[in-house]
Amino acid sequence: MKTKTIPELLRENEFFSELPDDDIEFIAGCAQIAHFAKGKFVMLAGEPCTHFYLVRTGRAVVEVETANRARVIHSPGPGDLIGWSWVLPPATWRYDVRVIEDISAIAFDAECVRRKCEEDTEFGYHIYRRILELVIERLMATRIQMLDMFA
Amino acid sequence: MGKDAMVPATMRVRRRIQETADTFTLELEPDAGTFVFEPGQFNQLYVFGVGEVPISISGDAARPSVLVHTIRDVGTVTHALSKLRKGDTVGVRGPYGRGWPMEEARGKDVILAAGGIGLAPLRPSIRHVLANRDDYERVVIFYGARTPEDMLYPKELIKWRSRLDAKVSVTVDRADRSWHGNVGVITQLVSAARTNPSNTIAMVCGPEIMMHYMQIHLARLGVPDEAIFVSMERNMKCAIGRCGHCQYGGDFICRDGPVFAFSEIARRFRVRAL
Repeated sequence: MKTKTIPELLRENEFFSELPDDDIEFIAGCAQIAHFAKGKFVMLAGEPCTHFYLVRTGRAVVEVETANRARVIHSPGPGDLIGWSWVLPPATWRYDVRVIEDISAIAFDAECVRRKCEEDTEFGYHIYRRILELVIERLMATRIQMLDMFA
Repeated sequence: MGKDAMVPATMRVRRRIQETADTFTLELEPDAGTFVFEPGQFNQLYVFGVGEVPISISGDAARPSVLVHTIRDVGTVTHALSKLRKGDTVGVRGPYGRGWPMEEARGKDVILAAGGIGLAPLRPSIRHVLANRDDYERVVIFYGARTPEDMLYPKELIKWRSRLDAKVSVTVDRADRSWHGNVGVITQLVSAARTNPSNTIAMVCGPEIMMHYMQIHLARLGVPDEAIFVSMERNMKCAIGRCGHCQYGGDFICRDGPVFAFSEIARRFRVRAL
């Protein structure tokens, strides 16, 4: 079986699918394959956002530590993007993300992508628009969660 | 059902199962030996001396020798029902209402989405689809619960999940570290349905707010409102379309529902105080 290239993998994902080929090729240049074993942390709250991730396989949980108790608020899996705090200063992670099933992901160099967004505003518009859509979707989901509709 | 639609038959409790902290299942012995119903229909359960409540039938339509209801202990009558034990009697009127579109779904992709105790009214259709698997194309089951402890029928969910011919995804709104499954709202599962939207029937059961968001997400996938079916709940009393307590616009939920195509009720859905 032929191994897919990073640009091919990006084109298959909803987040990147509308990007022109040149931009896909560019952002692929900021990316590499990464693996995280079960139990490891993909990111920790307070740490600088050096990378963000597109999950290929596996699953993680976004956790918040409150009163010495970890509460899980979201569980990104295949096809999901992990991390958007890199887009704006101070670019530090707000939550812990812990792996619950071994993860294979595409890791993006956040500084590389951010710099490109600033230099090429059309590319930046595409990326920030998709990030905004993602944030809105998460905000909607969080609001529904807050409704406690199954209570 | 007796000649007088308002007179309940009496049935004995065969078994009582505590499902979650506030939800239990009663298995009843039909007085006539069998009780025939369609997935999605409901009965009026009567606790003598206390009162009557509408409860969806949650058992297997292919096994009419036992009548099953899963009930949440939230009011006077349901609390009295929760106190029933093996051998106790309960009054039963039914079955009532229009059920899930099992015939219409034949030959199509089927999405069965339940939230909270909404899995109980949907379980007969899930069992039907899985028992007659060749009659349907892709089968996708979504279930969302408040917490892992609030999930209904966990053993059956595991059984469904072990099948290779159905996609079953479960999520909870919140959890601690001991839970290793999905966390997030049920609507977030929908994008993974991978059904053919023009040949899909979706059956959705849960709180109205959940069905509202599910419809939005299913519509985004391209599933038309005519193919999205929801089970509505109102204050059913007579269950035969006479008393008007469950009037919903021009329909009586007890007689014309409880299952409606979303297209039939779209203009009324989520209208405040309706």
